[in-house]
Amino acid sequence: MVKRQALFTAFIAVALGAAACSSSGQGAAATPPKPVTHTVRIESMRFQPETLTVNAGDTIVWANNDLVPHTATSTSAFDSALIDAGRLWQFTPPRRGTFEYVCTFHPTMKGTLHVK
Amino acid sequence: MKVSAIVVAGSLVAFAGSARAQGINDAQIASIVVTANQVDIDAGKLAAARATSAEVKAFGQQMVTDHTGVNKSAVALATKLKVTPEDNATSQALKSGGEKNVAQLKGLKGAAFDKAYVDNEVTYHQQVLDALDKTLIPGARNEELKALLVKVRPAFVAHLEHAKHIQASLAKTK
Repeated sequence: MVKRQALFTAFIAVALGAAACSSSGQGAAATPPKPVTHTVRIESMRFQPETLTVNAGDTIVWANNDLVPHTATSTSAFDSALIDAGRLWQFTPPRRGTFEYVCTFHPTMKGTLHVK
Repeated sequence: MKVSAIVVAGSLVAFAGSARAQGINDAQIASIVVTANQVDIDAGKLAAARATSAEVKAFGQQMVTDHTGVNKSAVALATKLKVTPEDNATSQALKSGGEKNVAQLKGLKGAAFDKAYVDNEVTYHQQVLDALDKTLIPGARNEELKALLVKVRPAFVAHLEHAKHIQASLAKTK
């Protein structure tokens, strides 16, 4: 009886160990982070936050809370065109990289988007 | 060519002193805000049409867009608050100073026009900022009007920096 219980306990331990190996060994590769949406507020003639880091597949929404139109424009990756006061523009970067961007209307407004 | 800038600036400076002494009501502030924006819209339209430098032309158009946006919000708030903008000495001085500025600019061409317009923009935005800080924001009684003035302020700061940048680049190309 004691022997049978010891065998059962050993079986459970092995099974749990295998499960643990399975989750720790394959989990990171098999389950990429779920895409999320980030918001950059355009307020007081600034991008807030000015620097944002996101994962590939995430979406970024620029929300213009100012009274005047703005753009979010990088030289190589994206251009919102005019975002009117009170309007939004969203973008899902198609590739990884670091993208510096400006408001083409207001050159003092600068931001950086890191896509990892 | 700097006379008009001094006229507009002078009216705001004189106003800052008198307003502190006599007080100012929200209807007068509304009138000053709308007039100050309109003055820069008128000058901006002229620059967008007549400036030689592409940078100055674009800046003029931007002033039209931005100050129109600000005025839209100011008028919407005044309507909501049932405040009728009240003409006053400062708004009248701003208006006449703006008209003189446009008249003088119309007599200029090429680089002289660009320089006169940009010089005036630097002075104008600096003086409006001073008026906002010393008189209009502290003087506003209605909280929503005060909040609007605070919200508008960064646009004037950005315009001033932009105008100074263009002023410096025009000086280099002389």
